[in-house]
Amino acid sequence: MPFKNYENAPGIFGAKVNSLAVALTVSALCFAGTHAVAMDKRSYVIEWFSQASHSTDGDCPAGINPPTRQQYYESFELLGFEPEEVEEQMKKYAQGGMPAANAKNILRMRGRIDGEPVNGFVHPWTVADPNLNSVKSDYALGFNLDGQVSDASFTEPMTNEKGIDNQLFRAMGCIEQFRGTYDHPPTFWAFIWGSMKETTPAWLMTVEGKDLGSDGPVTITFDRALEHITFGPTGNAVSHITYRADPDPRSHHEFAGKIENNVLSITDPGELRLLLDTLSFPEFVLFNAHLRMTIEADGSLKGLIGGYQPLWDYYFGIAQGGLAYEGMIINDAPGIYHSLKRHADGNPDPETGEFTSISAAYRIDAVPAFVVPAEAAAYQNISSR
Amino acid sequence: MSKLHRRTVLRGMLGGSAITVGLPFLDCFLNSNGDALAATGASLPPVFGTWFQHLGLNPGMWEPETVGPNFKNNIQLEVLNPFRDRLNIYSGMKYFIEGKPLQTHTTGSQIAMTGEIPFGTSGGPSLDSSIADVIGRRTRFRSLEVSFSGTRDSYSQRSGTSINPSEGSPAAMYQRIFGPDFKDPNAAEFTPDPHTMARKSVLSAVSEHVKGVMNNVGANDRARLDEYFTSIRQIEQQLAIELEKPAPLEACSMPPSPEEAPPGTVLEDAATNAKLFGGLLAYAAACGQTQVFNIMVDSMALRKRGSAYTWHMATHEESVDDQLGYQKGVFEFNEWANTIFAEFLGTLENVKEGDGSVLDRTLVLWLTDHSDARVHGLEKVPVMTVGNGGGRIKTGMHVSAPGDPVTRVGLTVQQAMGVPVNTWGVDGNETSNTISEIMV
Amino acid sequence: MPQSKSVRLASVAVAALTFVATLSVTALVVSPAASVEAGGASPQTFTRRLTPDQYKTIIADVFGKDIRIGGRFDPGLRVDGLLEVGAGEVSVSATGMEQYDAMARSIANQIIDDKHRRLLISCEPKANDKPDAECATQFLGTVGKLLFRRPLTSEELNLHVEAAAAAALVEKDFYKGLALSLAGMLSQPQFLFRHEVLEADPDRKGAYRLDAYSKASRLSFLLWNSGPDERLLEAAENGEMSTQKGLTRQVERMVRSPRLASGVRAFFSDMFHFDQFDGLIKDTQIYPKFSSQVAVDSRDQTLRTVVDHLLVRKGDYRDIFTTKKTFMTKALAAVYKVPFGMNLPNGSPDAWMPYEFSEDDPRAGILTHISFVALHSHPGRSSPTLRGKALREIMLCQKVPSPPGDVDFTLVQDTASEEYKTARARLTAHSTEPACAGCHKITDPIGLALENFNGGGEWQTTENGATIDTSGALDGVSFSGGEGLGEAVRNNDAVASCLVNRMAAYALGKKPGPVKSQWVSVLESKFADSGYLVQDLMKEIAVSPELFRVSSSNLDELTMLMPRHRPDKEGE
Repeated sequence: MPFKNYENAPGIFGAKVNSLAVALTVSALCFAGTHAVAMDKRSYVIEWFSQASHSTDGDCPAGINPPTRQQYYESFELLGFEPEEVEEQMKKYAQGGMPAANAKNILRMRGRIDGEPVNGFVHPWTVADPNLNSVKSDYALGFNLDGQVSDASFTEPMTNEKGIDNQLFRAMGCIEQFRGTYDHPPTFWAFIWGSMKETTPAWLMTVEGKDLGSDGPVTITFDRALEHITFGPTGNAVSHITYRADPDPRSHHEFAGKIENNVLSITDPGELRLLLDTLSFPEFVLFNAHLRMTIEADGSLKGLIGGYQPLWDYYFGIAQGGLAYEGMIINDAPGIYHSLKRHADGNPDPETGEFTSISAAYRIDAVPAFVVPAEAAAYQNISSR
Repeated sequence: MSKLHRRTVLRGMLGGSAITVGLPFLDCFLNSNGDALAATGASLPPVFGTWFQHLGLNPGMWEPETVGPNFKNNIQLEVLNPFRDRLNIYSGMKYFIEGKPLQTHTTGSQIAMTGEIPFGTSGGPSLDSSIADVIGRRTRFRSLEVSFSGTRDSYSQRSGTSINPSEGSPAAMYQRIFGPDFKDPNAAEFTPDPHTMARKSVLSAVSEHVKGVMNNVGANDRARLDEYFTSIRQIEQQLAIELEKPAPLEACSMPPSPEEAPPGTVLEDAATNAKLFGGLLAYAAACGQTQVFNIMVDSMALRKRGSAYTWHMATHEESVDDQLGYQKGVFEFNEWANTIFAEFLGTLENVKEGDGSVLDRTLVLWLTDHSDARVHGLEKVPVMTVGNGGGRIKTGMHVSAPGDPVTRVGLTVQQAMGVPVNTWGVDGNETSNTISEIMV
Repeated sequence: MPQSKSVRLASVAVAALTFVATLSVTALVVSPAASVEAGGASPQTFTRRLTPDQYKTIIADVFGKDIRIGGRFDPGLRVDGLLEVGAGEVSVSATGMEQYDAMARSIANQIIDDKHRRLLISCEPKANDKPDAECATQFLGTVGKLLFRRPLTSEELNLHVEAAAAAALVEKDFYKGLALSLAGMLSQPQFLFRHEVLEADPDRKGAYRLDAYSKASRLSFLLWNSGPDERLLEAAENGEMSTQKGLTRQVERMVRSPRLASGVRAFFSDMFHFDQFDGLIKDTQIYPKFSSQVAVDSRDQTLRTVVDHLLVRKGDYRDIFTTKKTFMTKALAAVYKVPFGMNLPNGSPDAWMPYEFSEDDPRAGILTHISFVALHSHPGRSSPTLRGKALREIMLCQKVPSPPGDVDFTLVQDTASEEYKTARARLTAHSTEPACAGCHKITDPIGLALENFNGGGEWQTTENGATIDTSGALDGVSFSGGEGLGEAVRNNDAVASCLVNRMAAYALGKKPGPVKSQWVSVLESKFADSGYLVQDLMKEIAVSPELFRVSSSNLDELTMLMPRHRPDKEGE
């Protein structure tokens, strides 16, 4: 009986968790060797996570959005500054010290409510839309989430499947730091993941089926670990490290899936929630979550996970760095908000009809690992000195 | 019996006079003018320095292709080719943070210089401080810190609460070293260090006694005993040399007072000041004013004249060029810094001392905060040393140590400079694994 | 100059006595207590250099575990299979002496610092800026006894007190002077080397034995890998050590102590060549899991397993080659590919837990531990020959001849060969070429059984797509795989006698020669009778009079005595 999304109101530690824990315990203890068990089970730790971009030449006919400092010229213009005033402000910005602080404050407070300046990052809808350029291309990585092919959808460059929904890529793909390929992640994501990967508790996957060496139905379970990933001397995650699954049910989800021709996928898409990190998304949420990963010769997994991601999750995930991130790595946060709204295509609000989520795809890699259940009284994740 | 008696008496007396050290002891090592003895064979003291340059190097463009000796410099370090034989490149190593938050540009620097990520002001001495404790105890300045941009920031510290700030103005540094308080080392009266005198007296007394009492051994053990005494004797000789007036510093002469560029973040001005500081430090070493220096390039804030686009911005904003495969603007900044570094080394080499130069007895440790600055990478961090501090390490080597902590280099350098340490660093950055390939 | 005069006189007195003693044979016949007082009257020797572990343990024992010891030690020398035997042949290089000197001063400076001064120096000087002979005498005499492992002679003590005083005068600081003198003590051969002093054996005419303090040292280094403690020195002083009953009482005390584990660890670390871990390098591209943490852990894993099996469970020695019980850390578990979760805070250093390989897990015994298979391999590939050789030489005490100089290794090094997919195939020449087979048939059939373990210690069932054949043989016994090898080694005749011989050599500091061989045979049969209990063997060795006897006929072999003292001189 395939499990759908796991309903989790806060504070459920009950019979359901325990029985699951028992089942995991039994199978974990048996998982010490190459002998046959009733069910074949393999676990993995996700060692790479980033947005999936498939940037190609000419996919931004209106041009790549300019770097932040240049973008700021437009920000000032949109606020109503005259050209000479704009020049003056940008000069101050470059100077450093107090002059720069003043110029930066104007930029920070570029939202307007009743004419009064408000923080543009917190109230992005009150900032004039700079109309950032978006992707116009035939190809994008991802999944056909709504089952339809339309003008708004892409073709998958690897499988040639049509109707691919990845509006997030469309919205972000003309910003320099969000451009990348299947094998080379966008700069922003390399930076974020690089900052997180050694500290954030790891994401775990367990695949269970009759015989994982051949095609057939499987159950795919997601968990969050108590430990962060263990990396080895080569910079990759070490295989076969044991991780304890966090008993907190918020990150525990099961999906029905299948293995076919060395490809692992979810057959019964549903809601996926995984706690992540305040450096990025505190909670990574995908509605209608799809998965497609290749099973490599060395036993590792490599592929994509996608679905509809709530707009605010994504927006605040990247805008929370405020002016510092904007200056460094994201170009124009309120502008991004407007782009996201413009391209959103999922979970329409029942009253207003406005879309509250956007189709997205992320790249993930996983290596073999052992997953054991943690005791209910798990330790806090604070490393000792 | 009487013969033995006399011999024993002499032995005892030597032991006796060695114990009661005082000024008379000093006399027998100096001639009546107080000049140094000619043929001491003593070498000039070593010089140690750090060159701290934020923002790493372009990944894949600095690592030599081959490992070991006889490597060829990759494109980004070609400007250092004149110093290839003195250069060691260390690749593949990382900064470990294991669960602690990454403070970009700071954490890597802290690990590089102190081996640990401190809580607040809890840190210990930076490695240059530990080295100065060994080689810089008797110079006027335990160490000198300079910055090219004028900032007072520095990673050199006695402890977390006692940082050695950088001097940003060459003119001010000139005044500090060669101003009114400067004393010509070749004219000074030499006073031997009492601590060294005490050490030598104890060592000599003890070894004399042991020699006398322990002469009843078989042939095999006698050979080993002789080896032991030869080793002890060498220490005694080293101490004796330290108690003598040091050899004259021929290369010491007053450098001209510098006319500096205004301190600030402009690249061209920083280059001017770098040249000036290079000269000052070279002469400071030649005149025995210091044996340890720390240089802060302060890359983050540097920018070309007229542009607001800083080096730091470039690392994050600039895209990887499709054709070239690297960040072009960042490459130019790195090239600029490496050129300045080469010029600095050239300045040290131009101050001649006897058959050699100040550079011959110098070891410079090149450190940075990240590998791929674009993503604040902590893996495959570039580390270099130039020079061998007067024969203390082997050079001309590319050492590859994938996955090892960068602190291996810090540990090895400290050991080479005589710091009695066999483990350095904390938690994941803790290591006792000396880079034996470069140890002599 | 009153100070130097007294030293001068003391030197004269001592030298005079020495001179007298060298002429008079009768001076040899001295009672144990007197032999020390006379200072140089009885012949002294100069035998084994302290190992780095022993140095550190003694400092920790005398001054506390929190004294930091920086600096590096001269490398050891392995002779007749043991570093402990090689310790009797090495001296101190100039670099080594510099390190010792720096180490000694660093240790001494810590002892006089504010944190330790009150705890470690039980007296106070009358003034902090002047010498104080009384307090210096008290302190240096007390620690000196523990450091030199016998009471200081009055001459030695005076010398050090004088030195402390002179240094205190120059430094204008009592404690600094004391520290320099203490540092001098730590640089002396009496500390750095284990002297063994002989005295005439009252039970056997013309023969010699170790004096009481030297006996105490032999016991404490064998059982605890450290110098004698206060209690043992006391037993040496009051004659307890000279009676068999007293000796046995002390040995039993030491064997009951948890410190016995240190002695066992030190012995097996030596016997198993674990010093090779210092230089162990693996190719991280080929074995990405083999980090330096794994290297450190794997050494510890085997030592913990051995101590647990031999001392805690009091198991049969031979069963260390077959036991499934061991200890594990997270880093090791990844290499062994077994799940191993521990409830610890994130980022904690590696922690140890007991672990048992399951019934159907092919790992059993220390020969299947990473410490054996990875240590005896190349950086990027396994080596049946190295493993077979290691087993022969280390566990069975058998000599394997060295390879000839002109061997072409290209075939065996080609791990990507299409034709020779497994190591067994690549080593066919070893068994087919007559010039090679002679030696290789001693080693390869052993190591080939371990080919399921690659050079990084990980389990593999195929190599380059070909299934690995792990059939092997040892001295006529056939088996398959690491478990089978462990069984065969366990039941091999040489295993137990090898251990006994090694331990005897470790205790003696020399390979047992023809004179000691009968004693060793007795030890071997007692070992077997006891059920191969190592703790009993150590006790048996420790209470044997043979451990302390030196017969006149093997003085040459011992090279301990001055030629003039050879008893073949007339008038003895």
